Amino acid sequence: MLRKLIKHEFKSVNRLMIPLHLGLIAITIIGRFYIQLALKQYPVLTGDNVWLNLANMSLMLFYIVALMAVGLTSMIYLSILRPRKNLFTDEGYLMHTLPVSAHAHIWSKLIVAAIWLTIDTALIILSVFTMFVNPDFIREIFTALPDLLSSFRETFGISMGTAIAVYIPLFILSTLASLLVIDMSIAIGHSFNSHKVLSSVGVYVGATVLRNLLGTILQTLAGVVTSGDTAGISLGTFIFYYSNLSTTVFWLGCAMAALMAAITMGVAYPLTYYFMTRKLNLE
Amino acid sequence: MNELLTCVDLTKQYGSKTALDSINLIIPRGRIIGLLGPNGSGKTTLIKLINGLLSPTFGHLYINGMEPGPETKKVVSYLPERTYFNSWMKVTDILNFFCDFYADFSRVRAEDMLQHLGIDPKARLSAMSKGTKEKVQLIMVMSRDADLYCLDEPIGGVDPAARDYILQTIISNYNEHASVLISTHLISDIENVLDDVIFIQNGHIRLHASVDAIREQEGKSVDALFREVFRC
Repeated sequence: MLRKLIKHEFKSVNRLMIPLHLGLIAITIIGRFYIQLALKQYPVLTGDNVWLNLANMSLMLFYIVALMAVGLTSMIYLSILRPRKNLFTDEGYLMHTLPVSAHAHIWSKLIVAAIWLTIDTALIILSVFTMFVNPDFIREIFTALPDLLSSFRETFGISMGTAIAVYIPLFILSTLASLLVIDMSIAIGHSFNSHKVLSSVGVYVGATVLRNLLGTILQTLAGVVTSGDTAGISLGTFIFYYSNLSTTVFWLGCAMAALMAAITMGVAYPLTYYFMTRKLNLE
Repeated sequence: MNELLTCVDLTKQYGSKTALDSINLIIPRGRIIGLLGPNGSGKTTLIKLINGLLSPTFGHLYINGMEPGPETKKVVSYLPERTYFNSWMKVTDILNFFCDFYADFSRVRAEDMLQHLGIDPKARLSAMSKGTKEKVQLIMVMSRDADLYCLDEPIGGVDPAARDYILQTIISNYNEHASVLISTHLISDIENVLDDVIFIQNGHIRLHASVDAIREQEGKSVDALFREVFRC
């Protein structure tokens, strides 16, 4: 059933996400053509004329705003609007009477949102890269690549490949945790008899304050470890004492992020499930 | 097991307001039951509880001996009093959706009913009138081979001609293993198809009897009795 839910979730979500990202691709192609071809072919466009410069700046501003709009729209739609509308408004009368578990509902929303947010992030990065990259830039990158890799290793004590391999699952885990906090807030807020949206916002604010507090505690613990104070009594100090400090910072940062995401999911998931089953209140 | 739905001390409160107050009810198989009562009497709350859209404050509710959950949703077909489909959907999208999720859904039966009511399967819901949307929704719900059909105001928004067809559909679709629970204000329209009636008022069941018994004992129609019991 989860597979079927994901299939129909994609079908619904794609109606907005595909045109939105096709628009992003179109803007990128037009922008790339303008910057890399038009401005180079016709240097007069970048001359001293104040109006032309103003026009170029406006176009750049438009591009930045468009990028932000695509990112924000995707985030707000996938994390807030879609789950709320589909599960807690009129559509919820259909979704909650399907013979599927609340687990399947939660995961289908999480998986589809995480996939689209990953695509969204990748496309935005790719768009910026496509917009400004040129043969000279690529040549320079390839020339500087060995130095870049070695300096990365010197700074963090691990290879860039390892860092990317660790960062991607961490990004996905953190995205899932953030989405779950929103799902939990919506589920709790909509269990109230009135002021459901306001209650959801209130729960979200409360959850964010708690998460920040937890983050601060974890960072403080990490600070004890990385301060080099070997007299520190934390377990982390003991584990990382003999390792390279920069490597310690990297791994400790990753461990803290993973721990933060795991704690968040460990609390948010059961609460979301509980409120979607035992406290569902579709009025 | 002849008992299809059992409510034991079923209570639902919204804050300080009690919508259902310790309801005890048994609905057997093979009956068409009218759930009748004035506005705000608790009809929709009871139907939502059966479908797991609300959780009881106290008490229990069992369908085939199970509390509402994915297993009971396999055998309960629910028509809410509102449109729950996305307006961008075409009728074929809805048919595909129901085929995917309900093992008991008969696509042939649904297509046959759509054709009978002159509804184009390729049409989008956004292009349909409110009444036509209601017909589509009812067709989907009645095209399942469910054990219990819960119909909340199924005929309120459709014209009298379609109303007759829909009632005929309800009668012809259900079997001795299934029951149909219909909540409506249009008592005179459905009176002839009902086996039993439940009168509900202020969250309490005032009467649960067969239509034949009412006619014999009271000497009046269900509609007349309803007007008498719930006179304002």
